[in-house]
Amino acid sequence: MMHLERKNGGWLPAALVLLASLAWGPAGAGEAAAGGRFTTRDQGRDAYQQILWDLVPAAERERVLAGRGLVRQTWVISPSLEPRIAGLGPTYNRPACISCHPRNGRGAAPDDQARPMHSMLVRLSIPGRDAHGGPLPEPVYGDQLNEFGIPGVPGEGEAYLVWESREEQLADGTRVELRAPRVAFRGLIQGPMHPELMTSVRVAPPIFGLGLLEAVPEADILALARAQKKAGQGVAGQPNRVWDAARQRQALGRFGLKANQPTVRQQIAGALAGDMGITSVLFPEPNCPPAQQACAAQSDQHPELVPGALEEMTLYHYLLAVPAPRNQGGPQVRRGRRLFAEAGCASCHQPRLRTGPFPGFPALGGQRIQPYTDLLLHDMGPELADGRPDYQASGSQWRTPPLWGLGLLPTVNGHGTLLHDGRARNVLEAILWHGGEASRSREAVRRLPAAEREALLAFLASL
Amino acid sequence: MGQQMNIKRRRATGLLLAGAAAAGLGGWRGALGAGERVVVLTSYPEELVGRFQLAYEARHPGRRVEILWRQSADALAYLRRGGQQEVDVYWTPAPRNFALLKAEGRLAPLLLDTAALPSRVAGYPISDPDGQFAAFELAGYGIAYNRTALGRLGLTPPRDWRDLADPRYRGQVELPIPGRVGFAPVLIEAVLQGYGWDEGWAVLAAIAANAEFGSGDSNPGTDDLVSGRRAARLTIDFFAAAARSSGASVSFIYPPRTAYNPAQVAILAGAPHPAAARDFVEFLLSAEGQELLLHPDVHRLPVRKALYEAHPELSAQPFAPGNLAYSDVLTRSRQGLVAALFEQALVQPHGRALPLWQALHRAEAAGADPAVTAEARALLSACPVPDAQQADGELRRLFDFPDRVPGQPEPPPAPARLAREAEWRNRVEAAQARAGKLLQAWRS
Repeated sequence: MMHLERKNGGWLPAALVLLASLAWGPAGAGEAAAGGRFTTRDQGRDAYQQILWDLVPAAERERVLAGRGLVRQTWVISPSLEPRIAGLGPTYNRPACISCHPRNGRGAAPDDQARPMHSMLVRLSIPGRDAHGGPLPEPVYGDQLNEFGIPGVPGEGEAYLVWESREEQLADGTRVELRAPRVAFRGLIQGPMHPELMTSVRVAPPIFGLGLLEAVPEADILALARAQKKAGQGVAGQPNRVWDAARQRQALGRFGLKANQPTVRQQIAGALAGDMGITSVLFPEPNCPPAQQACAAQSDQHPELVPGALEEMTLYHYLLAVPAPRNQGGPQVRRGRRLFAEAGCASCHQPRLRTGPFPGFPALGGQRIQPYTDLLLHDMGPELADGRPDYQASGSQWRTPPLWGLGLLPTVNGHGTLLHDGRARNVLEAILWHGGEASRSREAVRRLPAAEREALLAFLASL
Repeated sequence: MGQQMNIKRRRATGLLLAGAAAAGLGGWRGALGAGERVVVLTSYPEELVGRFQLAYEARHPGRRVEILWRQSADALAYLRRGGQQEVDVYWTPAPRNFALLKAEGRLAPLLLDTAALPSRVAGYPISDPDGQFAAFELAGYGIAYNRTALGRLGLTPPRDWRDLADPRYRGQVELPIPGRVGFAPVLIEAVLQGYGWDEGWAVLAAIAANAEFGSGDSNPGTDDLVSGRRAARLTIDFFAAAARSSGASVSFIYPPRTAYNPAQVAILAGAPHPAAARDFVEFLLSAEGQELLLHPDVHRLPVRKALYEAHPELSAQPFAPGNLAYSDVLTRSRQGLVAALFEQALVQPHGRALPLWQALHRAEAAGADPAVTAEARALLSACPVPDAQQADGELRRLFDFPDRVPGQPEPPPAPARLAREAEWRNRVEAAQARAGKLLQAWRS
């Protein structure tokens, strides 16, 4: 069953989706509900941390709270008196989920090369594919640099960013400085990495609304890809096909910056393993390569995550509500919404989707949502490319990130930096980095007069 | 949570790479020398730790703060089994641990300039007189309340603990259980030390008559307060401050006789990076470090007096004259006893106590014989262990929390302890039965 908007009995091609967006009138109660029933009116610093308890059955309440506790928990090295929160390491990046997702929000890149990465990481791989079609890890350091080790186990080294800047000029003469990072390493404990090393620098994204995205029917996402292709506007989203470790088969990728995770549960388990070295039923093997002898010599029992904990964390993620958009009836925001559609942004940043039946938490089903994503991969051009394929995602493809809650980022996290590596310091910079399939949209924005550009940015800030 | 799936599927392949790795082992050293790292053991939440970590590293480019996290009992066990050779700085709200570590010779002198750092609150020491650990911040205890909910109930904001005993708060108060919630032992002691044992216990029992019990970290207490499902919560100040700064309709008051409990910092005697450790401690206690305590993500009370003058918006005044000389030594000496009493006298019989308290409230409102209501209230409020007995050292030791070992189950309670608890239960049941009869007789 397709849940996109239907007109005249046929699936809407991308162009008509834009028209549908144009037809939106002043915000009504329904339109302000970005996450359907799972929408919070909180506009403050806790806006990304809201659970709508009225939607949580009493029998599930304790599990949601337990999941929240684990997400906020700083994890402990084994052995510990508290096995429920133990298992950090032997190597890891950060000790808590919220280290990288502060207030359930977005991390940031360090501004200079002297500072370490506190809420981002570097993926590593070499040419080739693993047994499931995923990236082939760097042979000695694995598929992610872990900067810290538990006592007795050295961290693998430190990654840092060197920034290079250039200036762009908009059609009205406005100058915008853009910066881009180059990743470098120091203190590598096993010496230089593979000569054909491929890296990808990743800032941790916000974690609310994920249950709704998992509840979008796969058929709808695939239909979007077909509609984009048929529209012939130069936008052609591609689904990623990735390994589903629970079902032991290929599946549609939805989560992660390259859509390389099929489910919220696997996303969490992958982050626990990769970022914190905590093994689970999905990833029961410790992340120690033979070359790192002190790491491999650790004798923890695996999996480290106690039964039920992964499900509790997943449930908590499912239920994190989406902030309602603000000022939707204001003339500047309405004008900005029209410009957003006219510039073609809505082709990928799909304003409206609908969730289907979702046994994982039935109340998430049947919701009209406004995530501003199509969950598809798009070629974003050479400037944004990391050159590191990930399953079927090429080195220049990225999954369309949701825009819901975007305007509250400065309130929640105290910064407005965007894109996979945090290079954009605001929304305008992020737009100007768009290339590839999004080049036409970027150029349309570049040509806007100042007042219209401000309207577009006001609309994005209202989300 | 996180990023993308990134289990490391590594293998050492190829002579070239193996050679490079071997060369690395011999010839490569991290760009960060040992002197540029400080290893910190803490139980502070990530929001606080991360902010200090960022600020310290920004002030000292190239230096790194490495965090190890353990709750207080776990940390003590870890340090005792050799962790003190791996850790530079211990930084946490656990006064008992600092006292024990000092007594066991595991701490090094701090050698601080303490001119701007008060060593006492209300005359009671918050830092080690011998300079082996120093107060870093203070946690204040009090009442958080939802302004909207109070308005709905027609109540004015509470000013003291006993205000929560007003029958109009029925079902509207959350009271944390000291044996299950980390911050609760000090909170309960703030009431007991503030009013004295017998009166303090009576206040707690009367509040419990209006309360639901919060049982742990996963308890939705803050959510319920923010949403207005509960009108008031006995809590630690920074929980309420965080909710308030996020825009919730929540306020917080410090009762006149409350506790300001110190969190402290120390350098381990076996610190592998002693110079960096000293530098980090100085940063924590510096004006810059103490100012960080006021950040909305942190919300702790500084120990530098000057900050209270610079920030008149701070409602806490821990260094003002007339405050309670709260004793964490007293708290520690009877922590197990109080936790067990609270459980046996207030938590377990809660279901039976509630209708009795409601009957008492009705009788008092209806102008029943004051002698009857006073006796019934005394029966429902009495602690099964009176003041004179609770001071008994042998009794307190019987309820001390046992040392635990990772991987081993907690030892079963001693038979003498179980016998005491049974005795208390009997006393409570007898008191409830007597109160019930008194109130029943009045009704008929």
